[in-house]
Amino acid sequence: MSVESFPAASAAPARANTTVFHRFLRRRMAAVGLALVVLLVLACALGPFLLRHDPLTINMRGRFLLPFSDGHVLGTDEMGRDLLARILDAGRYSLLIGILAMSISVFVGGFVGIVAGFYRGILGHGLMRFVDGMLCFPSIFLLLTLAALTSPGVVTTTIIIGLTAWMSVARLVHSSVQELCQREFIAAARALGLRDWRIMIGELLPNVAAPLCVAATLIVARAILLESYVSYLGYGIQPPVASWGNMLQKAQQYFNSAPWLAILPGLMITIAVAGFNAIGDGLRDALNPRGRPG
Amino acid sequence: MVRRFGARLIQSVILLWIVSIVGFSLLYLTPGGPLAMFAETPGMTQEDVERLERQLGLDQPAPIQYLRWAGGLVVGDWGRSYRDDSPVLEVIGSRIGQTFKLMLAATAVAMSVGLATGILGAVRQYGRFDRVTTILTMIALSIPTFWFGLLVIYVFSQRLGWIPPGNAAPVGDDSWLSALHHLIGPALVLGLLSTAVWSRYMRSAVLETLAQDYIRTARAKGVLRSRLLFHHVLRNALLPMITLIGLELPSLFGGALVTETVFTWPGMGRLFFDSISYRDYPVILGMLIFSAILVISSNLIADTLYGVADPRLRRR
Repeated sequence: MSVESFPAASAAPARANTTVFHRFLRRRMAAVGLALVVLLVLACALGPFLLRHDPLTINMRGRFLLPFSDGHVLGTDEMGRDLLARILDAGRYSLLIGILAMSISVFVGGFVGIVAGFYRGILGHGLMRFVDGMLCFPSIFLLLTLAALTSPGVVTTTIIIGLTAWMSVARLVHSSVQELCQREFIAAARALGLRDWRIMIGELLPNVAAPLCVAATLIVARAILLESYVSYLGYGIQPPVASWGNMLQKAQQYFNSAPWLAILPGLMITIAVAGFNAIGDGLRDALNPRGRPG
Repeated sequence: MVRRFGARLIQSVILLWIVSIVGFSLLYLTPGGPLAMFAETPGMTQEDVERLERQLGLDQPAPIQYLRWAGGLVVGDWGRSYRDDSPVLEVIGSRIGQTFKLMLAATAVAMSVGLATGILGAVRQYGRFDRVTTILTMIALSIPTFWFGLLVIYVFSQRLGWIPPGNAAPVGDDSWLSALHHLIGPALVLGLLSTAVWSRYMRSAVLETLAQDYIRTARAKGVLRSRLLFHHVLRNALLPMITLIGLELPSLFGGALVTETVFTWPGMGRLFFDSISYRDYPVILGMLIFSAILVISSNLIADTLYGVADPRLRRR
């Protein structure tokens, strides 16, 4: 009865792959999201090599230049640094932090979810109650507390975001694994005498991969948002390194005289987050054909 | 029904106990500790810091410290602020009113706009209105709250001058009109995200209900469209929304923190922000626990209400 909710397990793998991809592309929002993300990643990865301006070079005579002046496509900021170069460089950090934090979340959440779902008993219950407890704190509270009490920087910010976003993954994986453990192929694996860890990695993990992928994409979006919050509030990425969040912190003061400084980084965050959200939604619908279209 | 509530109540108390341990260890395990600030204060010697440590009971082993603190938590003594030595509960109590006001206003916006757009979108699925709201909700879910707040301040306050640029109504100004005037900006900004969430949930709940057999039966019997919608569909689709209030609360509370910093709103968010920059551990911990209590109790209430409202669950 639960076969349909795990298409990877039921359909023939080769055909399933193409249909999932086609189903994904057929949703216009998902396709647009994918295009946006690919474009953004390419621009941030390659852009800095193609630009004439360095994101850190200060030019006090060319402060607050309007967009499209003096060879600065997006103008310059309060220290005369090229805004386009800074936005693309900041994008590298923001996107990278989003993806690395997601990896941490998916790893920790997947691990806890599988272990807790496989070993019910005290271990499983204890782990899941811990997850419940962590989920009671608003994630921004948790994140800011940890960020403020540890030394800020790229590495700590990434780790802290990863460690405050894994609980939803654990819950998702846990419920899937519990359901899977009722099924016959797990009983068969046990009867064959497979070691516990082989059942968990070889049998359970592939079967939760589909929902895990969906969760992972949505967590990238959330991680980028969280990074921008923390950096905007001054506890994340520290200047002179630029991230979309900390660019907004300074720009706020010059909103009246140079609004583009505040509008553009925020627009980049919105585009990146919307792109990943759209991919996640599209993946969920494509992987779960029984689910309602939405 | 009563047994169901009793079981949920016991679960909630256990959860609260776990939350207190998690919260305490989180702060206890972070490097530096509450006295790191004083170690760098010029006038203070190492001996002073140690004396302070003994005075505050911070030299005791972690379990003892936890028991002391948790014991106080139960009897309503949440410790004292390091900053001005006032009781933590009093500090939180002095700010919570403004935050509740903001959250209530935002929820009102989210529920009215979100539910309406969700229902309208579902009734004509893939229609023009549905397409537009689907895109708008996606944008609303992705826009950083603080940036949206900055835009709102820039456009509606600095350019158009319609709303004040921040802060609650000044002290002494008791008119509700002024209070409302100050509330509009932050409430809309905080409400945006929840509006999108409510709209999405409502839309899919209505779509799901519309696909049920009894709706087809009602249609076949020739029930009027309006009666079908209000009497058959919404009665069922609105029920699960009760639990959404509880589920949305953590993100609403977190969003309030960000909104308050942008609009310099004198609530819990500003208090939290001040406390983390002062490393005021008792207040930080108190606020973490307070928010968790709020989340747990609202989930408990939403669950119970759901049980009361849904006759199918009442019999069990």
